[in-house]
Amino acid sequence: MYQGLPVIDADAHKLENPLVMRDYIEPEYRDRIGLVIDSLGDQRARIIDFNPATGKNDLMRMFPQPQGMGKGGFRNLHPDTTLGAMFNRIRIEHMDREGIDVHVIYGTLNLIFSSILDKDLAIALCRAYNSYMADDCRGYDNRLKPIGVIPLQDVDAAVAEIHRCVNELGMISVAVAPNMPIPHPKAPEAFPEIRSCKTISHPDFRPILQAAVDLNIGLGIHGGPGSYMVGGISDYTETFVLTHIFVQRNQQQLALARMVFDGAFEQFPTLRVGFLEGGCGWVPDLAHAFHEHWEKRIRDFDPKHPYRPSLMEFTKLMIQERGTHNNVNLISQAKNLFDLLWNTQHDPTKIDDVSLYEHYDLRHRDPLEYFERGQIFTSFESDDPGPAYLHIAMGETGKHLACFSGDYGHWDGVLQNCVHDAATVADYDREHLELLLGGNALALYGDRLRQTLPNHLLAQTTNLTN
Amino acid sequence: MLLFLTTLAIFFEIGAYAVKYFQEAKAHFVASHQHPINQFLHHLTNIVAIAAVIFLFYDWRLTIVCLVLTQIFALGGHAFFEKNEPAFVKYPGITILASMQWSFENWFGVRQVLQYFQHKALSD
Repeated sequence: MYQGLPVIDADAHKLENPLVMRDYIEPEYRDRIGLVIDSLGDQRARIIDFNPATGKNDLMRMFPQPQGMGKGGFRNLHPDTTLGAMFNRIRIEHMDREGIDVHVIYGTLNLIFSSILDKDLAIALCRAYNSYMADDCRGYDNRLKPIGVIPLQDVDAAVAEIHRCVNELGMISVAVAPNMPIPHPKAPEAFPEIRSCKTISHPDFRPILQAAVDLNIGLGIHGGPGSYMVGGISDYTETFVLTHIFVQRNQQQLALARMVFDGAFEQFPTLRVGFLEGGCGWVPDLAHAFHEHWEKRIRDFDPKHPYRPSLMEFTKLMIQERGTHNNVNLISQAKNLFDLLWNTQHDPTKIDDVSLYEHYDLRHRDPLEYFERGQIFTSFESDDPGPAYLHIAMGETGKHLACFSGDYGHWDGVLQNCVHDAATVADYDREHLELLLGGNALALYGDRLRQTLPNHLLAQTTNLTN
Repeated sequence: MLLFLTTLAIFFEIGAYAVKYFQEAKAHFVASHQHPINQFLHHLTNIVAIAAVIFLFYDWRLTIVCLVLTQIFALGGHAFFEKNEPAFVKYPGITILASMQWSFENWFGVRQVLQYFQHKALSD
């Protein structure tokens, strides 16, 4: 609690204990995952993956990607939180000290599962991770809420795993990757170094979104550096500093934009999605871009009647600019140019091509409505000033978007005074602060979290839940 | 002296404005007369207009006939060929000067015909 307000960390992390997790992996897959030390002396997951070149499971991959553009981190262990992220006894001590009531816990290794090529291995790892985390977090007065992970490589298996996570393992939700890498159509042989992606809003993944709605869970989208997922600008930077500046927010921005414009929020109007660990300060800018492009290129867009100035006006301006001498040639030149710019060979009113009507099925709804009706959430970390200006840019909606996250367990997280710093980074009123520290996380994760809160928090959150 | 300089400056200012206005009107005139038949009719209009002035010294009734013909040629060119509004609607008063200068520049259409054939020969 912080000054009587419930505190829910919406995106804490587990550092999987490899010794324990190994026991949960089906024996036939155990030898295909292990730890190695890279040339810089850092720990990497070593995964023997399917090799498209040989057709066999003989592709040795290291995660996070140790070198090259978009590479993952190194020297990643946080001195304050590494042990707590592995051992819950320490985690609980830290939570008590900082005044955090609940940790919603995402994984670390599992953030790369969507990049595994062998779908059977991916399924096995997801099942193992979920079983491990459910056991690992059981007890502790219901203060630890593990989030499951699902294999995007097999949608049917993913849906089954969502149901297992929620109904059998008692998890409050599952995490999905912001995108799944797929071969780039122009260079399929260079995959996964050169890649395209399918985001979670792709039609193939709609059963996953349907399952989230059916089970009333708030999906957590979580990316990561060095994962071979498409990472936007980070795919073109060769230092980890630059990669890490862009990777999380670019992955989330792509996922959010595609969710909106692929019509996922339209198809599932009660779907709630958290776009996590990418910050929130960029949301007003992106939301405005959504609105502007919807307004100008979807709602008001009329491809059959493109702008066409009058030839006379065009010629007059040409004459004024070039002079009235030799105006016979000038008129001829102006007319030729005019016909080139405003094509006379193809009458726009007679061209009927579906590609001219991008996202036409969304013309009836401003994307800002998806924010207003509580379908979109983001997270912020303790020293992030972003939440202080969301409501200035987006009005009351801006108060209901950002969930507190300490990023516990990762190198860039903050433990010491994390709640205090988050609460004092700006002069929040109490109602606003209540939303940021816990209310928005409750809105995101919904009844699955609400109904499993520690008893002492139930009364405290009544006003937030109604 | 000061009064003289001020008057001179005002004249320059007015002159510069008039030149600019005329250039705009001329550009508008040229741009709004692109159809060859309309161009021909306007050159004809200008010839008849000159004739109207000359006839004033001989028989005013011929002047009236000429003035009527100018309107038939000019308005007909816009209505049936160019299909736009006459230039004098936008630049009343000065359009006649722009029109005359245009006709003289183009030798009442002869130069345009020559340029057309020159251009065609180059294109071929």
